[in-house]
Amino acid sequence: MKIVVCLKQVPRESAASGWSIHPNRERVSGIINPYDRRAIKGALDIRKGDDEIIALSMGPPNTRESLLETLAMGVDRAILLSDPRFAEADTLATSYALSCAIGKIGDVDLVLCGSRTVDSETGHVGPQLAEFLEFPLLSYVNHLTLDGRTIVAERVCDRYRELLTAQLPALATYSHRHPVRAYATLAGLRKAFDEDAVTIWDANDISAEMSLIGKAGSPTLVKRILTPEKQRTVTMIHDKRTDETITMLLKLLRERNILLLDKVRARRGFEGFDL
Amino acid sequence: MTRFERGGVLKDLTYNGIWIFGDHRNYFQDRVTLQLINRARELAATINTYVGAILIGDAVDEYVLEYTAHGADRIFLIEHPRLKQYSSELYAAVLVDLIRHYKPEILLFSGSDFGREIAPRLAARLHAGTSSDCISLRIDEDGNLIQISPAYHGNALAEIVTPEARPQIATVRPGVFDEQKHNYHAQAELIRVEIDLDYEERVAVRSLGRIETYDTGLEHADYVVCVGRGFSTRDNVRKARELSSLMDAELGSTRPVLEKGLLADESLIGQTGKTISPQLLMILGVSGAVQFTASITGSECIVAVNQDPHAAIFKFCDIGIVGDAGSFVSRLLKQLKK
Repeated sequence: MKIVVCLKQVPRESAASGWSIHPNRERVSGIINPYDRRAIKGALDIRKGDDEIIALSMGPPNTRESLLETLAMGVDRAILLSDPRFAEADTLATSYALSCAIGKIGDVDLVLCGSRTVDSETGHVGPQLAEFLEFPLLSYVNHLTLDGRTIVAERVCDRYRELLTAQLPALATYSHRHPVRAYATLAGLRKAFDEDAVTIWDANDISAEMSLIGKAGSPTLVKRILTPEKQRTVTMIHDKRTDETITMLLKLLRERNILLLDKVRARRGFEGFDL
Repeated sequence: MTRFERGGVLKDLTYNGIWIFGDHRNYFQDRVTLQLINRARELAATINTYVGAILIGDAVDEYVLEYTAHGADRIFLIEHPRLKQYSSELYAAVLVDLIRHYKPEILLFSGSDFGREIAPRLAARLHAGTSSDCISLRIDEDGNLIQISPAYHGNALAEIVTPEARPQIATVRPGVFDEQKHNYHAQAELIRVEIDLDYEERVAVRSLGRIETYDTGLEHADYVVCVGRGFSTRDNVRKARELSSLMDAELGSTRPVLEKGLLADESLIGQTGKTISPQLLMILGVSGAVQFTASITGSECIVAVNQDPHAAIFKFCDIGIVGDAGSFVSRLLKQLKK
């Protein structure tokens, strides 16, 4: 069986300042989207005998680092879609390119994804990739089991517990609410760097339709990125373990029209019992 | 023609109407469908079009009156025994046919799990644009829908537009728009759409029932007390409970507290939990990771208590108290009980 795990390299959190529309993903150091680690773990758990796990990502050349990390976790080989022509893709154009790569890999039985990314947080790629592949979609999965070619997923969708059943080939996205993750081992890292089983494909390699990739293939346009202003002026109180702190707090709240003490007293009077 | 051939490059002006997916399964948990209908009315007025509510299911006609009373101009009712169970695959198949026939200009879903699963599927099938979890919607000078979608843990807001492809599809975060008051005199056109559902589902969905949980109402609370890792002993959580009950506040928490099993999952505030906007938020022993702070930005007044004067939370609050939260709460309780 061939299992493809899709992942995105996202900017490291500490770099979370001064975003532009297309953050320079070359410059910012990246990590594997944490929710995609759940999918990698899922693939490793499902793998039996001579099943093959292939990690697939689209991004700038430095995405190789994240793919090497997946190899260190136990993934067999990795493919990176990297080509300036893929740039500025929205989720639809991204999903299309990934579907072309999965087509080229050939005979893929199962595609696993995280349910969203921590940067753009859309959660579009899993469902859209399933559409392009024309695979049944099982999303927000907590647990997957395989019985021959039948795949069964337990999931929670809007608080409804559901059991989804489909036949392979299929695509599943793991729930972002259960952060079980795969990690690289030191021995794995050494092996990953030695073997360096990362293949790079460009748009020609995957026979992509040029009008469907990159900016041309993206129906949506990000007009601008707004950074919400944080306009809080902090008043600091150094608590000396005295009641003065409390008095000062209540006074500061009163200045902001929050009548905490009055509210508590009114409630006690109204409800007529001693809290 | 392949299924995914790109739609017309020029904007297709034959598309009109703002459609709202009637999320009746979640009606009693959130009234986002009603909120969306109301916002759609305001948008529809600026582009001179109608508001349509799409009602898919089996024996769901009780919602026709509800959506009418809350402002829909047209109700599209699609009933079939096979549509009883929510299925993004089956519902998407129905919606694609409907969209191709009626050509709505805008299609809005709740930012629920289901909405966020079906919206991108539809966008892929129609080669349309979609955005997710929008917190604001408006119409620009070209008549396009401006969709404001949070990114980077809420540290940034993306202004997204779909200049050409139609319909413009978006999911919207529950609670960002107000619903219109129930209007008993409102009238709407009811369109019963007959379908022959010959679509063969590839995914069988079996419902195992709803998870009944105590809903803490954090999202709507005026006052919230939130406990974090630095306040996560059993004794401190008990104190926080006492304080919140005295203040008539809801009690929230961060993930470390849940992991200790001291509070239920529903109390989680943060990226994978709830987004809150109370009048007063009192934060005890929370360091202030971005996943948390992004979910409290709407709070009017934030009081944070932490022992570490360099804690990040002090950059996100209005009143910062450096000190032991346990001792602070004991003294506050005493004062409030006087």
